[in-house]
Amino acid sequence: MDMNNQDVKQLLKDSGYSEIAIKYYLEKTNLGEVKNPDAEMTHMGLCGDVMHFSLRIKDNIIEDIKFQATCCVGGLSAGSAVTMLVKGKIIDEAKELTEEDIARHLKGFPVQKVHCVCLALKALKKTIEGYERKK
Amino acid sequence: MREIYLDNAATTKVDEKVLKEMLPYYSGKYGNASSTHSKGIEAKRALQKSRSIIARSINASPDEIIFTSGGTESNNFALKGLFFHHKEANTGKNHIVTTKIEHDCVLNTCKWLETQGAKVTYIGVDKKGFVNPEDIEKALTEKTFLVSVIHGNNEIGTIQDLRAIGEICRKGDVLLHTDACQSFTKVPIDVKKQNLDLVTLNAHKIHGPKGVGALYIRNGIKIIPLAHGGGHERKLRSGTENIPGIVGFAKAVEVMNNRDIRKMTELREKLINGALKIHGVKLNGSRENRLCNNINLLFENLDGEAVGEYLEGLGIYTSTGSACLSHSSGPSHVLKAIGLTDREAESSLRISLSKYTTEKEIDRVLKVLPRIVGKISKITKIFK
Repeated sequence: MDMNNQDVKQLLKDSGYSEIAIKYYLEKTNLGEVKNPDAEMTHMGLCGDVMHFSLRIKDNIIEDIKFQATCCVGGLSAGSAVTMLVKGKIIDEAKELTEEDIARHLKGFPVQKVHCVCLALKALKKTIEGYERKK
Repeated sequence: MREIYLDNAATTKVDEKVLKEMLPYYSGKYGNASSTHSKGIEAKRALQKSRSIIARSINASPDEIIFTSGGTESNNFALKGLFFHHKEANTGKNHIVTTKIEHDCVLNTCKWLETQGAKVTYIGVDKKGFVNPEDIEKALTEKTFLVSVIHGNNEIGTIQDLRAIGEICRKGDVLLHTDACQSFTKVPIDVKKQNLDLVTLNAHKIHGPKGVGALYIRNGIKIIPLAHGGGHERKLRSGTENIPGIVGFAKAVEVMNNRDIRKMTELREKLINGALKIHGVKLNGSRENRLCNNINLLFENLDGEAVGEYLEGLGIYTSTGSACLSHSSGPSHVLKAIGLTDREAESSLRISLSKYTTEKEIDRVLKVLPRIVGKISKITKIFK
């Protein structure tokens, strides 16, 4: 079945996704890979979805962050949300990020997709942990 | 962080006694059981002894046990082997009766057999997960050659009344196959009393090694092999026997005992009772006739996968009844078969114990679970 962006938006809205979550998904916000990253890590969630973060860090500040993922709409929206929330932040601030912060940023999300938020946050934190261990 | 492994329906830790029994068959006693020299005879003796142990555990004769690579192969062999026998012998029988709560390896084999000309009836279950034997009786036709019903369900732990189903099959002159991978050594299996014609068994769910299983085939049953070759296993399953695995499989059967079953049952009850005190938590499946190690919880209006994620963060390994599209094809067919909605199925979590599970571990789960539920409820409220 052919679907245009409007159909997709409506479908996702009906599923419980907010405007911002849908925007992230459709625009693929910060989806990709930072060139020559200072930190990168791949994490697999319990559901089998995989998320990879790559970060450029200068003077303890996350200058750039991108992610790649093999996952559902929830994971892609949550991954974008994480990048938006920590870009430009110092590492210690990024480490303080919680699932609730991501939830507040995304506003609406299907109840059964909370694990996508957990996945994105865990992937970020593992990337930072790996970076700090390496330092 | 101390790990707590509560995903024993997926696989179990190999018992040290099992491993010890297996190791000599990788090093000194590495002979091929088909060789006629003493090294081969040594392997053959181990094979025969193992076959006898496994046969005795289900009240079968040793020559009725065919070793395979595991549950999936045994189930494929039973279903395809019988179907192709009937096709080749032109008996006109092409109908299989099975249930909606079988393991994927039975359901997907049935779906494939449908492309080969088989007709399959998928019987539903009640809200607790039980098959009504009368429904099976009603589904039988003159073309039915096989009824295949899972003994202990891998997701919700429901134990089916094989004896009642067996009587119906015997009366209707139809063979009965059961997938007993989850129930083997936990629930008594007696192929004679229960009128079982084919039984799938495997090792890695009972603290044995991965990659080894068996199919009990009652003497006199005609079946076409899947693997042709050197004629091993009474010409029914060619391929050099996996002696270390088979020896380990038999040892795993020997070391299981009623004390372990009682302990698992007590811990299961403790975990269920404790979990049900948490607001919005329900039990999927039945309290009675349930596998001693199976717990399947429904966290109302919460994401079961998230519960599993948080538990994993604390080193507690469980499994969800559902998975994202990247891993499987949506909400669990078993949970849907007992009447759960997609959302409810996605709110569920399976916790499966083993003989190594301790009371301390269960106490830890019961301590962290309310906090996890509280945390996910808070996130869910923000989303709403």
